[in-house]
Amino acid sequence: MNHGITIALSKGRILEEALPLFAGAGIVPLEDPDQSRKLIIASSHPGLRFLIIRASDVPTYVTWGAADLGIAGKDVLMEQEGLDLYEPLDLKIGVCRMAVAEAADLAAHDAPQRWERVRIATKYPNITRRHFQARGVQTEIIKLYGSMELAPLVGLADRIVDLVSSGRTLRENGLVEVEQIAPISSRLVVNRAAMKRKLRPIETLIEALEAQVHP
Amino acid sequence: MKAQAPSAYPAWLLPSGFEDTLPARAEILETCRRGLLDLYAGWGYRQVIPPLVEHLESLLTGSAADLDLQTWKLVDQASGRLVGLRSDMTPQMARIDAQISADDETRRLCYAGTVLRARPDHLGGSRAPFQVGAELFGVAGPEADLEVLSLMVESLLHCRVGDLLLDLGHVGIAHALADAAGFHQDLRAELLRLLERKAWPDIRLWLDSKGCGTELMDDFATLLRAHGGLEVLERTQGQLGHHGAVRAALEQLLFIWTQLQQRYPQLQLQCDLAEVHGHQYHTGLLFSAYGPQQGAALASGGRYDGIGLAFGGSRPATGFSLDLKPILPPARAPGGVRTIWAPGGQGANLWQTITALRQQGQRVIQDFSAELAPADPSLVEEGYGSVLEKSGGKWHVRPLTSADITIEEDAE
Repeated sequence: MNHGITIALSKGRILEEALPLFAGAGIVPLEDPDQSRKLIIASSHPGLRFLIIRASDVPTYVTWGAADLGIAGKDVLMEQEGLDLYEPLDLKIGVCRMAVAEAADLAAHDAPQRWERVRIATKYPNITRRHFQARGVQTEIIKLYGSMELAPLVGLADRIVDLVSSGRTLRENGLVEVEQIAPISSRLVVNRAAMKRKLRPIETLIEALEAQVHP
Repeated sequence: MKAQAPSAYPAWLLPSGFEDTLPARAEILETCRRGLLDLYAGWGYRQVIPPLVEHLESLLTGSAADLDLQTWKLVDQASGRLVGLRSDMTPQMARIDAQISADDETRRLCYAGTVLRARPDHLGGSRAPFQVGAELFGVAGPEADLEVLSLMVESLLHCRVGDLLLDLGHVGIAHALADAAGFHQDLRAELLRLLERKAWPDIRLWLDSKGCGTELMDDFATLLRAHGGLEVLERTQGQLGHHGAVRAALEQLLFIWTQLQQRYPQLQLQCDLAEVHGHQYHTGLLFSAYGPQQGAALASGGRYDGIGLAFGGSRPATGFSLDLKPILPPARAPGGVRTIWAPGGQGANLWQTITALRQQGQRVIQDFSAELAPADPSLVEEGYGSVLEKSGGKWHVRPLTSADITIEEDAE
């Protein structure tokens, strides 16, 4: 059996903020993932390697056991239904929030508690549906793949559900945040069978990362 | 004739999550199924064959209500009532046991058959697992759990699964802490869902929001970390032993652990006291087996006392089940039964000779298109092991590689 550990990571903000955590735990990729085109990158720790994949693919790789562990945003974990993973650690990176936003002039005289039916543009249809279902509000969801902020400006939707970090993109497009759905940060996720079969090395890794998050 | 409108789906397409089991695998599956049922018979477990379809209430009664989303439903056109296709045979066993057993009777049942899942258990999983399992009713002690657990190990060894890891747990421990915190019904269900993901950050927030005290918070933190070897059981005894129910659960686990180690010294044992995943209706000891490769458990089971209450008998119950398809061993090397090529036609004694060979357990295929055997190499290529041919007025089976075997006269 393979005793090595494979960790799935995605390029971009998560990678940028995760690498210092791994470095603190004594694990450094042998090549710069941002420069390299390799998808499998060895690390300074023998038997531990990184897979560089798309953020939304991380839970899939880990659920199937193609990677033993991964780092995935809570947004991705909440959006994909039927995932079967352990989520033992909040890495406190990629921190932002999932929120509902609307045009500032609508917000000026709007009261979210009186919403009855809303038309939402979002990249996160499942999170949106569950949120409004729990609130008892009928929703028409328009699934988009990017630039959600545009939708209310051109009348495609009256509101959006999206990740908000500093709120700058919203402001620059004349939108305001009117309701928070959930705080978001990146989680360490672990495949169920790997957690059992490779308990010692995975536990050690979790403890080392935890020490970085809560020094 | 009108031209058929092109369909969006080709006619050969199967619904997602379903597959054909073709001859090579079907033969292995059938051999394993028979072998397992024989194994169970040797332990006194008697086979039952429950129906594919039952009234929904019976399938989902009591603690099995979590199977709701897993169950395909349809309307019985004869009665207008809603019926479900079984998604798990264990609740059916509980119903059968409650119907046929007296209160203090011990009953051992086993089963093998396809179950249907409206949603696969895990990403990419089958929606038609071939479930095989055994259940022991009427015995409350850990000896009963040890018996079914041993039988589960034997089942996997029978299917030649090597390098087994057995994960032990006890749902009573999480329940004891939930009791101490005063979480019942919906709150407890919420907590168990969080435990399934081992999402400690979320659990801590959740406990906080429910006003859980520091001491219990620490107990939950201990529970989440209680994962490892025998030392974990001993350590947890010291840390959580002040909860009476936890102490009792740990004693059961220690008993099982010690006995298993004696019975199967080669088995790797591990405990995970916070594990509640995949154990929707269980009430006590839990166990799962992991192989070297798969990303999910190969077999699992545990204690589920009281599930039969709705059928009129609240009985102690413990058992296990597995999906046979993912653990089928690779085909054994050919060399067992080799096929004999036989000519077509109605030659004298040909039919009698073929019948005699088949009665001896040989596999004979008659080639209707030829009265004389094709060249040996082409027969070998087609997988034949020998040829039935006539020489000197008698039928002979000539192996394609070695010397002739003459058919005994009395075989006719």
